[in-house]
Amino acid sequence: MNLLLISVIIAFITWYVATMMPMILRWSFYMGGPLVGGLVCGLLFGDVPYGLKVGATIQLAYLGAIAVGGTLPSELAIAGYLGSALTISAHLEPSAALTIAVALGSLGLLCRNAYMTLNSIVVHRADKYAAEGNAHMVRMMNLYGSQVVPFLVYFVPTLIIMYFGAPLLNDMMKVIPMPLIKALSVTGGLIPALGIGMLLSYVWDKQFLPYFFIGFFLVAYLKMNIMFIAILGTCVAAIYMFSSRKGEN
Amino acid sequence: MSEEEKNTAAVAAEAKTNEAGNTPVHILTHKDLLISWLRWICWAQRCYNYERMMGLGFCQAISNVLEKLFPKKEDLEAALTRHMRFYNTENNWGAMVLGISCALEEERALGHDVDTSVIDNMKNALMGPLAGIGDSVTQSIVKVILLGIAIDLTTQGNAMGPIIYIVGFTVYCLIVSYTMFFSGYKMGRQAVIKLLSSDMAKSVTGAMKIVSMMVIGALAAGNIRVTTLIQGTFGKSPVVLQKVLDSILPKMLPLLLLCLVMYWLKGRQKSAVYVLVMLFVIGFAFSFIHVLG
Repeated sequence: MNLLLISVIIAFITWYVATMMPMILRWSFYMGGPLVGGLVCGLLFGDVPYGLKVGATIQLAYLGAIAVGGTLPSELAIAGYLGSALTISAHLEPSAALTIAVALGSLGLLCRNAYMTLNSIVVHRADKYAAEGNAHMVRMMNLYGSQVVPFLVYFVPTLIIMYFGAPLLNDMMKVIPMPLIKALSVTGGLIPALGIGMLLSYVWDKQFLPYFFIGFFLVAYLKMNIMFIAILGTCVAAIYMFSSRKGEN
Repeated sequence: MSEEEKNTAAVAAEAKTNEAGNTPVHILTHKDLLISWLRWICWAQRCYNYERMMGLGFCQAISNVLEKLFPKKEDLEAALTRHMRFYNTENNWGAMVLGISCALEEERALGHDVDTSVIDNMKNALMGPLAGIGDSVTQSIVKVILLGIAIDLTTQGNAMGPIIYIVGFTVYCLIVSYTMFFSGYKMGRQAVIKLLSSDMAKSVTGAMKIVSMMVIGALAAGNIRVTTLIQGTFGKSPVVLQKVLDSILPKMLPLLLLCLVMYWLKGRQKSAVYVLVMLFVIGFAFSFIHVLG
């Protein structure tokens, strides 16, 4: 497929997921942006296994990305969809992808801030319609008026970065020396510690810390897969629930 | 649109016939509520902004209910304007507030003595606590467990990973928001107070924390990659440090790194950006001197 077409598709998906998609789906498509983005871009570029690896690797950095009161430490649509697409088109190693995606995600906060600020204009238009009792136009403002700014701050920049950046990145990777690529990859292995650390400090509760170590060492020693850990955890949780409620009676 | 109007007219007529016999209990049909709930879960954050957050999202979600309840233009104008104010919550659990609002607005339309300030205060009082529960359950428990499973599958190259995550999360959101919305509508304000203070909620949260903690532990062991390249000779036999470490405690270095990160985040209250920069420094420095690889 030609680069322009792919760039338009990626730009549209990024915009769609960032602000347009029904919220019920955004929980998974946005909060899990990199994971889903890896699959989507893998399909687009015709290399699904590679796309999946890239997506899963980037997602690890954002495990602890929790939106409290609507603020996130990064723009997950840009990190996930644009990040995966750039990586795949430049044939980077998944762990190097993480570095690029994290940088893009932080830049993406600018887009997010721009639209969160400028959409006030739309709300004031809606205020006017509300005061006239025009519920239909209030809904139209919410559905379509709200998308003008996101088109400018999501669709346009993503398109430009993807169209001009992908070939550039490709050339850059050819001239970057080996030790630097190696260092990028080593760093890529460390960054998940931040994602997991943020998550852990968010749910931090000394009383429940032993369960963390049970999970950790089941994997470290026995290489259990996570599905098993989740099932085991559910059983332990059930025991906890029954015993704690018996204690109350 | 025309179909919607027809429906509105039909139900209004129905309400009138009820009125002839006795005072009607409900003006809103299940369908009206369903539309309101759907608009909420789909478009509440479509025009998210710093000034009002989900204000417009809330107003558009309740707008069809208001149109039906207040046929008089000036009533509708006032009601729409009232619901345009600042509002912010977690979508799934916070759907309850919309349910309660629908119930209270209906009471008002039926001529019961419900002050508009009661509705405003209820919204303001409940959006925070519900967002608190919602954010912690949805994002730090449900999301983590689903992501954990999905990432595990995905790294193995299984495309079912992302798909399981999408389906699982969407089903969770649908069930929670539907239940919250309709129980809010049915039980009114009392429901939330009951929910927030019950011991039941505490033991459920505790139980969910256990699963969450175990999954986080498993993710830490499976995904943080730190290995050392240091090797030397001890006496005459060559020693590879990584092998020695593995025989003492597998995944020792990832665990140590996580402890360091936790120390920065919790102990020293450093920001995520600080930690990120430090990880870059460590990664690059130790990679260049061939300590990590």
